[in-house]
Amino acid sequence: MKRLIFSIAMCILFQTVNARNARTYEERINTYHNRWDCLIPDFTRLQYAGSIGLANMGIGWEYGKKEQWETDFMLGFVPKYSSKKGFATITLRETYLPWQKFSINNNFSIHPLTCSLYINSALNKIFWVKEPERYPNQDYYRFSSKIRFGISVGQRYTYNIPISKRIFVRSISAIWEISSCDLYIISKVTNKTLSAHSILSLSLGTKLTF
Amino acid sequence: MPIKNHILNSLIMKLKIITSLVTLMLLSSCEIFDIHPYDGKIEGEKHLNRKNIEKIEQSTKGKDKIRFAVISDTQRWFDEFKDEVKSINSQTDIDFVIHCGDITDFGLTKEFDWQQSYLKKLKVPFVVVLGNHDCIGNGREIYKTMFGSEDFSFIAGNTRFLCLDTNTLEYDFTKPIPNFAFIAGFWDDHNSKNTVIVVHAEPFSDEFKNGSEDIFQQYLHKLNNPLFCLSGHGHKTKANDIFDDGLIYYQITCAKYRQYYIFTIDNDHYNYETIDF
Repeated sequence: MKRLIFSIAMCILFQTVNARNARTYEERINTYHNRWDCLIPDFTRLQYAGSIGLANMGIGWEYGKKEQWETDFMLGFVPKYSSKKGFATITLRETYLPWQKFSINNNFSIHPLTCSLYINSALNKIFWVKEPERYPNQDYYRFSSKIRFGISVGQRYTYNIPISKRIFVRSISAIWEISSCDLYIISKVTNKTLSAHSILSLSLGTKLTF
Repeated sequence: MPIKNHILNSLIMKLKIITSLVTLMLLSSCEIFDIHPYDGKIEGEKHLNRKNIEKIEQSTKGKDKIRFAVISDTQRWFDEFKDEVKSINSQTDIDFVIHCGDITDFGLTKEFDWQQSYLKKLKVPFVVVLGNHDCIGNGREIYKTMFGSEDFSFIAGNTRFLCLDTNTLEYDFTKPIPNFAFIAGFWDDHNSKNTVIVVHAEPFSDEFKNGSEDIFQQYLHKLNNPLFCLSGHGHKTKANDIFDDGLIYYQITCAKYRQYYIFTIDNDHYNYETIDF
């Protein structure tokens, strides 16, 4: 009798543990999937000019309570022009959208201001982060020709595709930005006679949000 | 038929005008689209040394006496450079200007274009020698497109000017610097009486220190009556008989310290003054 009661008790316990385990496992897997899902890019972006390359393409993520933050990563290309060879560049950019978009109607909306900081790296061995060893000291030039820091402000005009017509993307945005980079700003700040517009760069782009 | 032709012609004319207007608009707005700080996309004029040398050789042809200004290292001192150009323009009888190199600080393409726009305010022709800062990144290629070859020469009056690349540190020994073969090419120069040598970095400076300095000097002595050498790089105005052989190296300071030289060569004699601006 004792053995029977023990067996039943064990069975019930085992069942409960089993059920609880199953629930925990499902939850865990869900969390696990959700976390990895965060890494799926929220948008893809194309950009023309803007001191990071002629044509640039990249992916990015939106986050924040109102999706007011964006991080994107771009691969760009600079043709050879007067140089011996063209080169590729990579850019990491952080964008802040201080105001939520104004909706003009159901489909069109505007982001009146976007502010970004970016780091660009030229992928060519003729550029260095620190001077090569042949130089007598490591502060011969006192700057890096490879890494550029930049700042930009601009606007976005977005078309939200009606749900019934969506195929692959949720919205398409047209972007313009005015930017400048560290070395341009240093040149302007130390020289009154250099015109302000000569250190500015315009870029045009599109953003496709999934 | 003639009427049809007339209509066709006027249509073509209109099309031509529209296309040229659109291209003009695109061209003028192009500058605002900066591709990359090191893109090598020159907006200004190209082959400036060759074009200016033609003017110098023409205007000084047959002259026994020539007068020229020597400036250097105008890198990122645009304000001072502007005053320097103004000061040179106020001088009388200047035939041309020699820039001893370092027109850029970071080797950026835009810096080359900016400096060109300042240089072009000079009333007289100018030549620019390659400086070590101008070699940063793809700067050497931009220099070659905008100004010309790193080693070049021209004749003003009866004097040969030999402008040489002595930035030995900027190369991984893939090209001989100094270019001895180029110098030797002028040993039997029948077109000039004197020679003036122009470099960016003088021998034994941190930039020109590759063990060939003595040979370099021996090569210079084989030229037609070498009068003197001009250099920049050191950001200091000084005259030095580096090799103790009577061939003086005149170094001119950077634009920041607001000084330039004016040299006068009369037959085989010369004198110089240092101008503060």
